Amino acid sequence: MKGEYVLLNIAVLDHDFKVSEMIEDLLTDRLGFNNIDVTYFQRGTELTSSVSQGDFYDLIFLEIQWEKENGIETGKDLRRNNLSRDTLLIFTTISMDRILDAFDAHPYYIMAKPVDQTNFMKITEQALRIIAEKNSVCQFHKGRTKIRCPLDSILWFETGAPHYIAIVTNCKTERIKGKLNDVEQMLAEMKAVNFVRVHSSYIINMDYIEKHNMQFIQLRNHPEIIQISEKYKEHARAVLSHYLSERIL
Amino acid sequence: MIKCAICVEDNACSSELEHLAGKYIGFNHLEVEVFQDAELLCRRILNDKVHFDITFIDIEMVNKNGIRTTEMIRRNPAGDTNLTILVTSHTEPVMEAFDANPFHVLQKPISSVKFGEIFRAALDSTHGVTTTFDFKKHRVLYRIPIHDIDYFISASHYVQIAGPCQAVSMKAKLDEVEEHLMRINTWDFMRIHKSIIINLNHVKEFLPRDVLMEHGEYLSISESYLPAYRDRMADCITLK
Repeated sequence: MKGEYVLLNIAVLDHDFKVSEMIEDLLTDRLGFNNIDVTYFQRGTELTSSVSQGDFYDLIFLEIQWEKENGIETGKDLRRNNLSRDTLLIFTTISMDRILDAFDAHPYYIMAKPVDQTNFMKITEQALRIIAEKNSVCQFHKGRTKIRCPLDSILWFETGAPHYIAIVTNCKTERIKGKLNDVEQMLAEMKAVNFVRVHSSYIINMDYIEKHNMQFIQLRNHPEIIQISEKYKEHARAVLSHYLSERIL
Repeated sequence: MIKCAICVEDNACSSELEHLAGKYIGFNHLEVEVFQDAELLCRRILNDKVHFDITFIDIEMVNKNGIRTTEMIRRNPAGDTNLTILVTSHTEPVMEAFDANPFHVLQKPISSVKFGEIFRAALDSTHGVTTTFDFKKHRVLYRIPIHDIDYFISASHYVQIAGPCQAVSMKAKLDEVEEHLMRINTWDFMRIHKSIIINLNHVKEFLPRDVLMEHGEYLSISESYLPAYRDRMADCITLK
C-alpha cells in the first residue's frame, strides 16, 4: 500500500483504432509512462456501464462525435452517474459544432483532431502530473493486479477472513489481502480526515453516515449497523463530533 | 458568503451577471467586485492576493484579451485555484479559449437558464456538493439526503421534514433551518411562507399563489413571500 509506483487507469473511447493506438504509444514510448493500463471502448454505453459498475479511470479520452455516438452526452452522462471527481476528461474533436456544450461535462481539456503530437504530449503530461500528485485516490494489491479507488467512493473498510480486508464502495466490494492497521496508517498519510476507526474491524467514511449515536453507526443505503467498540469509543466520539459539528443544525 | 469578480467591459452585461448571481444565491450571500479593466483584476488577484470563488472574464476586451488574462491568473500560484467562466459574444467557439482551461464559456446574450446551470456547477465545484441535512434528536445524529426532502414545515416548536420517506420532526425554529441551509451552501430551497420552506427541485407546478409538489400536496405562498417567489419562479420553470 505504501511507497509504490502509481498504476494509472486510462480509458480511450475513439472510433478510430489508430488514434487509440497512437494515444497509448505516445503515453508509453514518448512520455515514458509504463505503469498504465489502457482500456479501449467503441461505444459510449460500454464506457458508462463500466463506470457505473465501479471501474475507476484516472483519465478518459473521449471523442466528441462519430456516427450516432455523441461524446458530449456520454461525458455528461458519466458526470451525472458516478464518475469520480478525480477523473480527468479530455475530449478530442474534429468539429467545432456545439463545442461549448462540452464544458457541461467539466473536461480537463478539449483537443482538436487531427491530434497535434506536441500539444497532445504537453496536455497529457500536465494531466498525468496532476493525477500523480493527487492524494485522493488509493491503490491496493489484489492478487497480481492493482486496484485504484477514489477515497470519496469508499464507505468503509472491514476485516473479514483472517488477513483479508473488504473495501466497500458505493458500487461494489473489493477483497484484498492486508491489515486494517496498515489501511489506517495509509489514510493518515493521505490526510484523509473523513475516515475514522470505530472498531478493531471497521474504519468508516463519515461522509456516508446516515445516523449515529455513541453506540452504533448506520451508513447511507446500507442497513448494517456498525458498532462503535469500547476501545475506540473516546477516539470516535472526538473525531465524529469535530468532523460533523459544523454541519449539524 | 460567495465572492465573485466580474470583468466585463459592457456595463449592461456586467449588471446582468451580478443580478443573476444575486438572484440565484440571494443578494445577502453574494459579494461582487466589478472590474472594467483586466489589469485591475490581475492586480487584485496577483498583488493583493484576493481570492474570488468565481471570476467572470470577457474574452473580447479593448485593452486586454480575456483569454490571456485568464492564463496569466492561472499561471500564478495566487490565482491557480481561481475558477473562471469566460464570457463571449462570439457565436463560433474560440479554440484558444480551451488553452486557458476555463471552467465554462458563457455566450452573450446571457441566457438565465444557461447561467443557472453553469453557476450551480461552479458553486458545487468550489464549495463541494452538500448532500445531507444533519440534525440531532434524542442524542442520535440524523443525516437526511437533501434530495429526499420535499419541504420543511413548522408547527409550534417543531419542524417537520416532509419527503418520500417517513416524515421526521425535530425541535427547532424554521428561521434556524433557513439560516442553516444557507450556511451549508444549499441553494435548492426557498421560503414561501412563515412556516414553510420548499425544495425547488421537487416542485411539479409553479402556480401564481401556490406550488404543487411532486407528491401531490398544494402549498400556499404567503403575501410577504410572493415577490421573491415570482422573481425566482420564472427561472425555475425554464430550468425544469
